[in-house]
Amino acid sequence: MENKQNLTDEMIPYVEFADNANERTPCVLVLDCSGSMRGEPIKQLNAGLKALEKELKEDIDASSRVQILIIKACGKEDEAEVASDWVDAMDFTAPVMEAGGLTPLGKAVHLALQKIEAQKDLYDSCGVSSKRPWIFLVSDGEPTDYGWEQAAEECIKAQQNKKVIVHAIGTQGANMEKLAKFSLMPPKRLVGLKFTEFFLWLSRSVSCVSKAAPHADDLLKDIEAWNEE
Amino acid sequence: MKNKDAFQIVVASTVGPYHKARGLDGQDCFACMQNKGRVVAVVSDGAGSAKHGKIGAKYICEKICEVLMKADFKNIRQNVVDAIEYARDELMMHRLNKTKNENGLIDFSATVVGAAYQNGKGVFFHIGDGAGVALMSDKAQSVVISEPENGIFASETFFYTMDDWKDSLRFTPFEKAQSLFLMTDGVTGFALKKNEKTLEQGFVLPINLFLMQETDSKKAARALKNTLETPKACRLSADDKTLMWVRLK
Repeated sequence: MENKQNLTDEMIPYVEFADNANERTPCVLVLDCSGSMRGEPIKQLNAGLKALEKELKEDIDASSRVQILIIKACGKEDEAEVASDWVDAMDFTAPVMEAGGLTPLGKAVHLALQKIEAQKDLYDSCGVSSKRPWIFLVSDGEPTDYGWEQAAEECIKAQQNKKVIVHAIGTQGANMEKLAKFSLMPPKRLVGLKFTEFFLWLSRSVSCVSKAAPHADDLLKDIEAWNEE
Repeated sequence: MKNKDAFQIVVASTVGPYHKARGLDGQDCFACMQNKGRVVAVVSDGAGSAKHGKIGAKYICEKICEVLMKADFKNIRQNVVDAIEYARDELMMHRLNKTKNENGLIDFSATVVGAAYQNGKGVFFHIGDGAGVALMSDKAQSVVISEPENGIFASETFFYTMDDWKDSLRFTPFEKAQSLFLMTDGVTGFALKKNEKTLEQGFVLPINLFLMQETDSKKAARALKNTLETPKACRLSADDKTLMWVRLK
């Protein structure tokens, strides 16, 4: 008599499952991790990223359709660096961010646009379709790098050419006027340190958009949990 | 005692992670009948958005098999149309159809992927997504594919319960096939390349080879089911998955 183990072990050998050919929704987080984020703000930001990881992984559709890239703007030399490179949400592990240095938002956004173009080339070469990428620019201050205005213009042009959608989010102390230069939409203001609420909204929104679900627009407008206005 | 002339049929149907996570039943159904050198096979995917999609899927599979097994094969296409009309008529009078007319059919929305085969000649009949594949040999140098059809949006497809279902009904003939695959949408992404017109050989050929060689039908069905339920398959496709394989020679 066959035992249960044998029954479950039976498998057709050498079957290949084509790698996930789902349409991808690329999502870039550009995070200000400058010195002013030290203490409770960076702690709350990290808690929010953990919540984002959990929420995306638990969403069966989003986990295979959303791709995440995290860029941090920080450092003494006005550096922008990749904190977590492109990865499917199912494989995303929230990086632990540390605060320090200045706020090179221009360089960070420029890097985000470059990484998006390279990723779109990769999609094309693999025959994977994709939705318009999102950039979330989150800052508690203002850009400090030389030439940030050009990067902001580059960002606006990319949006006008429908290459990307940019959401600018300011936390307490952010210069909303300067943040507004990066996006065609007015920047939003985060209430207190509600990073977790913000990232949960982000996860639900990007999930909804990735599925082209009905009422996605309504969800995108439902920002009461974290928006000040 | 086994009939040596009978078609060998192996089918596996699994509930996808999407429904499992919500404690829901799968919405796929299938049916297959054979007699005197004729085989009729159908799989159907009940729409997740429809209240009684699974009933719609069950009805179409059963009614098509019932009608086509008795039909004159020369008029098989007309008989497919008649069978779908028969299923629709039955659903109009179904106790869960509150309107008792065509307006209530939307609650029973389901796709149709089927095939009828006799004397070396066959035809796929198809409404909506899912796919049919006829392999002429075990190396797939020659294949006939009945492709999925989707609407303007990726998640939109067509159902036999729609008013204009006849516009979406497609027939694809094939001849002298070695084996057939019928599948619902949850499997299509593995069996066809992204363009949905070309075979993903790394998936289809090992399954075909294994099933051609496996003489124990229960073991074959278990292996097929286990294969569709591997963590990778579930991770890549959250849909219910139904795959029917028919050996024709």
